[in-house]
Amino acid sequence: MSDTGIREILLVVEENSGELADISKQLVSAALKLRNEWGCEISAFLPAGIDERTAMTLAKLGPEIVYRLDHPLMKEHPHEVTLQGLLCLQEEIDAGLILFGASEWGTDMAARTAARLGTGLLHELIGFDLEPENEALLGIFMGFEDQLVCKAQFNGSKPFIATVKPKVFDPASETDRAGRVKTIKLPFDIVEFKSSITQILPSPADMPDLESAEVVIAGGQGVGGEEGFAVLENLARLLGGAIGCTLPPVEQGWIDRELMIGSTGKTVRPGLYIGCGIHGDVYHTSGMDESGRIVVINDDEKAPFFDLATCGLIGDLHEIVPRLIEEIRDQIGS
Amino acid sequence: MVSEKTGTSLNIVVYLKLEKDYQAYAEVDQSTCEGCGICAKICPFEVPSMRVDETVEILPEKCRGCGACVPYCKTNSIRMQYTLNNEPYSSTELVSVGLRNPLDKNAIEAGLALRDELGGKVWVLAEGSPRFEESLREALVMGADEGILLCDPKFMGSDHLASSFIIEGALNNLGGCDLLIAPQRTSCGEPLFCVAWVAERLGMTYMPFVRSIEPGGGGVLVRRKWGEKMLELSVSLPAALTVERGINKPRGLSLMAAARVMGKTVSRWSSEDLDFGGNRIGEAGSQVRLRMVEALPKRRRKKRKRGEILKGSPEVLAGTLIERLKEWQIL
Repeated sequence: MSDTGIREILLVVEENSGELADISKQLVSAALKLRNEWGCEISAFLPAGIDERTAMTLAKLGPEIVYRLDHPLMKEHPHEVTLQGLLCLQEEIDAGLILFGASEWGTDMAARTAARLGTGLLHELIGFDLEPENEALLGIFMGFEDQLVCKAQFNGSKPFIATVKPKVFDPASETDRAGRVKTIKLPFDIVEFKSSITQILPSPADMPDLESAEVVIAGGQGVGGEEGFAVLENLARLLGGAIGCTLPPVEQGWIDRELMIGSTGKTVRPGLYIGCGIHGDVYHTSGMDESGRIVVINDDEKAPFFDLATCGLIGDLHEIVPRLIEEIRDQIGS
Repeated sequence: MVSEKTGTSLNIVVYLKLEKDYQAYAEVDQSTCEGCGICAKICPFEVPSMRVDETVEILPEKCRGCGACVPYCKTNSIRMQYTLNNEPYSSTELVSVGLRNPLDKNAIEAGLALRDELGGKVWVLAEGSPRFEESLREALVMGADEGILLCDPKFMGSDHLASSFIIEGALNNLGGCDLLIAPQRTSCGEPLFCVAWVAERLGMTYMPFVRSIEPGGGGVLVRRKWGEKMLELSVSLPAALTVERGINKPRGLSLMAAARVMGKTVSRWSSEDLDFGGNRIGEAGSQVRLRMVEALPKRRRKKRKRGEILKGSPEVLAGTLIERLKEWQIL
């Protein structure tokens, strides 16, 4: 039993197309660390849409019990049904700490849970601290675009709720012990639904994760539109890389904000970075200037980005990139 | 104002989180400063000044902590320092601040676009010290109908939960609203938690990470990511949404709108104007309490040298790059 009286930690687990999300495996790791330090137990909650096999995989990672939720209305009203399931479970097991991964889904569910339970929440934690003399539990997190370390104390009633920052903990690996798997059933007519899914649209194309890709092809204002980015995407696929962008293409709706590289976006350190039609102001370059080799393609020879280039090409990217693609295809022979 | 087309009219409140939980200021290492003065040129508030020994001085009490100067310093002499925000409002009253978080404009634009299509009114609400009146005034120039600054030293130290009581109090004063819109994230914190609490207590449909909003489905239709798919959901009103970047292109500030706004003041409401339990705000009403803030040592960035810069026909340039890719063992 820990000094803060937390006997049980409840993990809320996320799936991606039937597989356990990476963030959830990291979440289990974080919880196992706490179990070692605090001597508490771990339960995991797996919302429906996930088959038995995934529940078994989760059970082998370390939790004592895995609770699966089965409900026919989950597909239409995923948020509300998941929340209801979680609340029913919490009433039964009374966990002292409920942990979510700080992904979009996890953050969303954490916010709803904290709001429903009326308890405190700390977001994107990278660790915990105990102050036994105050009987206080603190969460550690980064602040101000990762330039600060902050600590905040849970000051109210339990359960404490926290989201865990992605890529801080290593994913948990399979053990030879497996926890139990239990299925929770909820009554059909559980809650009045305020939102429902009207359409499911196709997922965006599969590419390596921007932050860990070894090759990044980025586009800026010079790319000119969505079609331009489609060409860059072809180049990225040929080189096995990921696509990124600066702020202006996002603001003009040519590309998703998730792919923005810069001081308020992602930071990348690929071995090869190719920037096309990018002026090179510091808000972008601070997000990529530690890349191995930097290639700059821009028709403005005064563009400051050339100061950072390992190799700079002064010319029209709309002429150069298609030729590049052709030549690479020839070289690869495909 | 009721729209002729649809006969509906929406009361829309846009909530902006403008106040940081901690104070930041830039500090110059005089031993490495070369006195080039770039920081003074970059600074939006004209804070850096030249000393007699021709190095730059930034006074902590004047610095607004925006951090704009830091990346421009050629000698890496500027470092951000942080302290917990314990200063009373009065000392920061004089320096005013416009809308700096681009998502704030996205959130305001989302409200304005719906109002323009369906009719109604847009209030822009923010909680913070008097210097944020300028931000709300900018929102008025964009086209918002009213700006309200929730301003009271008693609000300081509020976490998401306590802030939600403040917003609830304000919404009660306005007689409720059909749609509450906030930006998904800010450099001062994530409004989605506070908005979740407000939605819970006021019985509003909660939907964060929204990437598009349009009228429809008996309320609004929104899109958001769910794992690797994009979902479209119908959301019943009243609703509370947080919006993502790229959701829209915010309209600019027009001279005509600026003229309409001349002479209009942004309302200021204190804790006495709001209707909620007295001790639920500030630190006393908070479930979490910030205990410590510490800057990380700044990573030394390696100096890059300008490499080979080539001109020529697209064929020649593409060819040269292919050669390099081979040398670098990419191909």
